[in-house]
Amino acid sequence: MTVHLKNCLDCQTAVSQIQETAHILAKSQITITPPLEIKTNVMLTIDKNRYKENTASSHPLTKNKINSARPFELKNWGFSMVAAGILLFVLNLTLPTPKFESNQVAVLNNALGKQITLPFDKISQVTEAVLHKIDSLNIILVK
Amino acid sequence: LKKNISDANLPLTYNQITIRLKGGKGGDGYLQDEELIKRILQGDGERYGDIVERYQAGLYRTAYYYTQNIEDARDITQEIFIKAYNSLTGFNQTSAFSTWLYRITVNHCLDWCRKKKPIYVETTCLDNLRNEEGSPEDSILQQEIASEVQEAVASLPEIYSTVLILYYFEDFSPQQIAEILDTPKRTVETRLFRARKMLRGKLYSSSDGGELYDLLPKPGQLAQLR
Repeated sequence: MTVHLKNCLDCQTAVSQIQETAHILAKSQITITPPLEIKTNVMLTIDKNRYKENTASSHPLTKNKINSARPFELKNWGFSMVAAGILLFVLNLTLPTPKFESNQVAVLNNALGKQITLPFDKISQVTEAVLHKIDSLNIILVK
Repeated sequence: LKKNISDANLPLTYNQITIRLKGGKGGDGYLQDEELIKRILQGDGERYGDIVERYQAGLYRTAYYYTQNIEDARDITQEIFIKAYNSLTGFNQTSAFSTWLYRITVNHCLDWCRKKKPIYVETTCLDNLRNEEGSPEDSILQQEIASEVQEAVASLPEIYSTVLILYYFEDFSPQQIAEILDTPKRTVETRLFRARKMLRGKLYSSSDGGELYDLLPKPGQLAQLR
């Protein structure tokens, strides 16, 4: 490039023109003093306690901790979803017998229905007992 | 070329001052930007005053180059500082704080330019120009040139005016400009080259009898002004 510049008048002119423009630009740099009110106004406007109140969440170091806690949270969600899937799968399980006759299916349905209603009966019994106990406790307290 | 200019006993610009201050580690009470930011984020909001003091000259000057008037430059500078304070948590320290702050500045100034065109050109606010030597006549001439150059720079498409402002007036390197504008360094260099060419076309547009043609020094005459 240097060799070319030495021999090419057009390029020499172009380079010198660019250099002159650059000189003019550099000489055109201004020095202006910012008014004092800038700092005053900024300091009056900003909320100086902005980061004091929430130092724990705004500080970069604690931020990292929050970020590292997020995957754990997501992992928990993942486990919950998998558990729910397994539960649904188990509930929808059919017996390994390949073929059912219609009455067999009905019998199975009945059996399943009973299995499902039984826990509800137990739950209502337990609830009633608890309510009775609470009532008796209330009576004692009132006395 | 830039090195020669900076060696010519010219007043120090913000970047040069920062570099010198940073070079003198352990100076009296001088804290690096990152340390100041850390303290502010830990709740010491008063420390933001140090940041404002450190950067207000550079930001105000940059805003002035875009707005061409001191009132708007002042307002914009204040807005930038407030904006930066409110989004300090967004400064992730992957780049220098100055880069991050100037990114906000450039974006804010460009937004301003898109919304509001400058109403008038203010030249009387200039304290002085870079050359402090020479006769009063030279000084006046230089001010006029500077004013015309600023106008010409401001009239360029924003991608070109921005690189010129950051490179020539704020003394950022192409690499730093690339970080501020989030563009490749090569693109910045290309824009600089084109911007200089376009600017030259504007300044020396003799064909349309532009007033700048007579005002600006012709090649070789510039040395007499120094």
